[in-house]
Amino acid sequence: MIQLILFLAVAMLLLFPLFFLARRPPQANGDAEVVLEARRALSSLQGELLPQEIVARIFAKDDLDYVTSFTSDRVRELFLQERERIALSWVKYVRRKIVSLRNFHLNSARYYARLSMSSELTLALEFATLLFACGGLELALRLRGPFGAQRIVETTTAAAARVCETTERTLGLMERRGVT
Amino acid sequence: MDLLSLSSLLIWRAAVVLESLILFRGFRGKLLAKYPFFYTYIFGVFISDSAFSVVYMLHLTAYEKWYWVSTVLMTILGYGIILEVFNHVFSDYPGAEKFARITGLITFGVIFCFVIIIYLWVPVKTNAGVPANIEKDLWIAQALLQRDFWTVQAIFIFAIFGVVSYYKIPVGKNMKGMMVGYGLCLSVTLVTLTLRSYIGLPFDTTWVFLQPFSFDTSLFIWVTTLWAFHPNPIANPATHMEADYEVFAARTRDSIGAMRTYLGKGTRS
Repeated sequence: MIQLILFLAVAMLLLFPLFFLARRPPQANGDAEVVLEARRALSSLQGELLPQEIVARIFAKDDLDYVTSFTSDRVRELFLQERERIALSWVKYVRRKIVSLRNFHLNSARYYARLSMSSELTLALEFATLLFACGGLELALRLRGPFGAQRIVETTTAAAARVCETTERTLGLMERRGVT
Repeated sequence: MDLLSLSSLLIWRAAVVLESLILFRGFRGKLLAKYPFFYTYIFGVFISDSAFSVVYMLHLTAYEKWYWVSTVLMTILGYGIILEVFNHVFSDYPGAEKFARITGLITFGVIFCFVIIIYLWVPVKTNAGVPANIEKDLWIAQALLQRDFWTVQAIFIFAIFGVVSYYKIPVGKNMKGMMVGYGLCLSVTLVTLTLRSYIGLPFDTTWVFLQPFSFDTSLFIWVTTLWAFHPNPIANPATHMEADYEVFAARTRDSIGAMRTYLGKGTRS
């Protein structure tokens, strides 16, 4: 029975990628386009989305305390709705930019003959964790409101900053070599 | 001749026609030299199917005797398709090629160890007192051997699929057809062989129809996708970037041109 399940699972697993491969467009992504996209994503993350003051402002509990103390419940509710919308947009943009950085990394790594398997796996895990954290953060924001996921926000921001540093180094290296 | 036998025979003949068409198009489109392993496989299958369709009519016992030998040979030749896909899809991407090679070998190693452990640990049923049925045992052994060969191929092609999608490697029409066609054939064969070894003879009625039909579907995919040469859409990274730059520059020039036209209109009005 175990063998039956095992072999059937292998066969079924093969059918899914077949379906996606058959539907995939044959065009190649332009390398320069990916590099430019990565640069834009990096500057957007470092300049607009990840700076401490911006993250602190979006998720600042002081604002809620102020609104709660000086306004009616209706205003407080409106404030919470608006802040949640902003927080969710922030997560969405961070996730989108991280995907751009991942695309850039994969696009560069596939040409690199001396690619290190362990580094690739570590990076794949890091990207996956980061995207998973973004998903978790989105869920937490929806369930507990914009001020209920402070810890995940900190973790996500720190992890995203690490990925940004790595990408920045790679882009710098490419510029020095005159690749772009 | 009943309906099942007739349809089975028709499917068989259709396979021979499709195989000859693939070979003909390969010859006309100068694809034989580009994909030698793939066409060796198709040639082998064509010879085997053509010869067996004659043997089947004239000498049924000889057909039954040589059927499995030919099938195992074709399964081994099928590794050529995987090699062909591997060589062509990753030829411009050494990093992805290394990743695919290691991933494939690791996955194969893990499954191999798993199967060894299962064979060693799971107690083997013994038919004490039951007279040995050599023909039946041989048939089961052949089916299991063939299934194992196909499983290894499925693992390798699955690893290739995984790396192709992970690194977003562009795949041309020829390679896509080769992969989808063979992948489909692999998965259907694996399912039917597994069910056949598990269910036994009652499954034979479905098996004799489903197995050749899935192969015909794969042949049809190959006829359409390998009608002419379609290389993988890839260029050297550096030249590709230059080409991209040309595209960007052209787009910018177009935008500037459009802005100039609007400005001209605005100034004149």
